Amino acid sequence: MRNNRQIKTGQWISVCLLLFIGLTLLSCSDEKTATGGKVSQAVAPQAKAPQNIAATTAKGPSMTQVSNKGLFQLILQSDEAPLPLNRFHNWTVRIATPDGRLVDDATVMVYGGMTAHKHGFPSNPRVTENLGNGRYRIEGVKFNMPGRWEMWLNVRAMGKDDKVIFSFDVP
Amino acid sequence: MMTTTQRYLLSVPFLLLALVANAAPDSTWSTAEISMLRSLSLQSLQQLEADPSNKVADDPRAAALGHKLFFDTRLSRNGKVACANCHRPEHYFTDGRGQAQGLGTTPRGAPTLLGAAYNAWYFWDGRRDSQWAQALGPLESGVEHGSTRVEMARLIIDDPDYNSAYETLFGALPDLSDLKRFPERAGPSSERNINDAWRAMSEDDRRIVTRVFVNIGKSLAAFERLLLPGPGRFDTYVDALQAGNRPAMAAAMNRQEVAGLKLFLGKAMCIRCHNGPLFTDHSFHNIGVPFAAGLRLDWGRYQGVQKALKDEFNCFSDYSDAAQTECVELRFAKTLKDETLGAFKAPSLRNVVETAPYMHSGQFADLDAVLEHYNKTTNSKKAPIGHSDLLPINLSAGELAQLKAFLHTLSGPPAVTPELLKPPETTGYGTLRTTSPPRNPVLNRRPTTPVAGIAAHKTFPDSALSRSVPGR
Repeated sequence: MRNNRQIKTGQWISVCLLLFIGLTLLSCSDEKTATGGKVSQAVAPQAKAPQNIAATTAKGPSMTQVSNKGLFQLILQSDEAPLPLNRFHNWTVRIATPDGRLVDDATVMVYGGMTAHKHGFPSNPRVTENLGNGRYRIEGVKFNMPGRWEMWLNVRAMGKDDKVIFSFDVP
Repeated sequence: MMTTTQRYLLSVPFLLLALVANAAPDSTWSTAEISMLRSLSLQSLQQLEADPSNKVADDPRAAALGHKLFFDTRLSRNGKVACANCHRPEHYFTDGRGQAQGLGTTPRGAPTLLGAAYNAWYFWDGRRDSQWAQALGPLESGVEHGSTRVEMARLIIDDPDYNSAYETLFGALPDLSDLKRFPERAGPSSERNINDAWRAMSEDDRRIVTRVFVNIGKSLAAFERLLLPGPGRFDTYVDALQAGNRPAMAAAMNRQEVAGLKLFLGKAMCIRCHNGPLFTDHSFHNIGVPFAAGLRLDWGRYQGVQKALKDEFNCFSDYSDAAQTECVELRFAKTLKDETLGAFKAPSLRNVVETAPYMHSGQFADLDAVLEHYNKTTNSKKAPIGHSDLLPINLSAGELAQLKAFLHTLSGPPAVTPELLKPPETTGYGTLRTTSPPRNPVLNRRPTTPVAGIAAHKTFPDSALSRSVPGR
């Protein structure tokens, strides 16, 4: 009985390790493809979707967040996907109350940067136009490094202030 | 107990694992890394966008005029200083000095012009927002060319070649023959008599002269837009990587250089600021560089952006050809003191090995000193002014050597029509081949010799000047 269990354990270990080796080899062969003859597929310019963002339209990725105090619900969307590096582009933010009423008279201030690197945006983005239906255009957005960025939106409407932080990756 | 056979079978996976680990080449890149390498290669350099502030920016006739002006020492007080004195074509358009020298010495160095047209901001502190506006600065600086606006406008009027080229591009030149209205030497200047003479002129007359002066800058910019960096061994390596050509990869970059490239993308975090095909984000960063000996406090971008916003030649000005809505950089310029104080523009790393000394005032004589500065960074954020953006990287001596080796792979002769690297007199003014910049500046390939044994040559070989550039 004891011997049999030891043999069975040994066999299982062997099987698991062989499986692991097999998978390792498979992943290595993928790497070789990347540096081998089929690179063009492996390095297709499509960047991976940034975290926290689900691509919802052809225009660009969008993110939904409720503000810190729960006063507003914001949908933030860039005009471009994937997010460009070192180039100005615009974003749109749509603001509503939690029960779905659109907020048309908000004052929105835009801040942000790379928290991990302790610096802000290389530019000074701001809301330049109230587009109606709770939508506001943000111009002057530029990212000058790949990595994790944050956009902070301070919203003042209906005599109340609240803020929200969006996090996303720039490829 | 396990049998011998079972023990043997159990050891096989470990042996295989060891073999696979040893066989993995150091030049293997992940898909994400390959994507980054592509973004750094010159193949990713987009065609230069139009400059809305300069309507002649891509006019070959303006570039031909700018070419002549660039080498013309008459645009200086002593007749000895031309743009090409500090931006020496045979030296990658730099001068090998930490602080440029014209009539006197400037507090900062002359950066390369190769690829400079891709900048949004000019000078180390970005105090000008177009290439044409930048070109005007040194012309009337007392320590550089030391000329005056009236003198330079007169030169354009009096030189028959300049006169006809100018009028073809910009229309009739003004009549400046009345010395009472237009004194011999007058212009904004730190010299009181020159400045007083300028202030004594009517506002309309000052505008007449300044318009000619501005068009000199716009022509110089049209020429400078044709000055682009050429591919180095790094670009050859990325091409070979994409083609899956391992022998060509090995020929382009040796193991030491490849290891340095990996550090560049990863642990050393160089790519944070030195990204894109020109190895710069064209933005401003405080990296805690010490002041140069004998120089006073330099506020960098904090003052630069304020100057740009008030500049008489900025994108909003009457001298700019752009609509205000097109002045995106200026409209959204960051002015926050905390993030601009002591910050300077990240330079391109293309040809970096050839363009010592380093930093805005030549604080570091060689790359070893530069790398040492980055490597001694702590979490303190301490800087001589403001706070440093750097994060600790903690590289070993071996890793620093690898990083330095990689930087050698970024050198390549300029992707510039050879005639443009010389004064136009040798080819005859007006007969220059000056066309728009190529769509893809990856033109001729250098021999793909690995760096081992390569001496840091100060000028590119003569053969680079005489080579033909296809597609121009």
